[in-house]
Amino acid sequence: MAGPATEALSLASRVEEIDGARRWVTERIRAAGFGDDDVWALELALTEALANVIHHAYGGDPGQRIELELRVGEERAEVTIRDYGAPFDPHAYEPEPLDTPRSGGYGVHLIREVLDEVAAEPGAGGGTQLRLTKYRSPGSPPPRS
Amino acid sequence: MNVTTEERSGVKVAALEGALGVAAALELRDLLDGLLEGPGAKVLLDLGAVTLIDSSGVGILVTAHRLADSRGAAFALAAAPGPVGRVFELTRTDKLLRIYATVEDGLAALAA
Repeated sequence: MAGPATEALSLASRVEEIDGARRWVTERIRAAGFGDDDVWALELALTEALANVIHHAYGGDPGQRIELELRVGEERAEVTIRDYGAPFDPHAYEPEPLDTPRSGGYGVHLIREVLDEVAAEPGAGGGTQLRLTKYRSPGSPPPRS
Repeated sequence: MNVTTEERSGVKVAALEGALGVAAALELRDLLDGLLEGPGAKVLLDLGAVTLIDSSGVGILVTAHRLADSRGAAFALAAAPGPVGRVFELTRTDKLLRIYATVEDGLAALAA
């Protein structure tokens, strides 16, 4: 049985790049047979995570790089986001409670809610490597090859 | 994000299409600020063709809701697809925002 397919994409640290990165991921996980709920979860988490990298790790500097690696297998899809900015550990970050609706700060909460696994580790040479994992939901089997 | 606006029964109805994400945040904020100008403004957002909303989109809708309150205007959302409604639930903003199942329901409530 073949291992997970791995592909890579490099993008600039600009919010205008997020839609393209999301489409790049979506096309590949849809082609691998992931269903609507799984695709939505990864799209949302990727969008939130990239916005966090751009705004927080890079402080809005549009001239930095972000590397994406997508691994798609029969059981799960994983997106690894590599930045070279200020370190960020989503597990050490405690979002404010949701009791009072507010105009921001939902990103990490949403990532945790919609994904199966979120793992962050310091990148060699600085920055953060964030891995977002979504397991294939029942009812969306991989296409037969 | 694409926007089509029309006036129906005294309500400004803006149909949004595409992703309400961080890349469209400024455009969405400016759109809502303009639509909510003037006391008594009634604004209904038709979310039926929205493919994705993220935390920045939710934040702008919360800001618009509060802006409407402060200006004496009315602001509501309608026809949110399942994934969009789920984000409102996960952020608990469904408890704050006025959300109607259909545009017709929203029109009936705002035009009253």
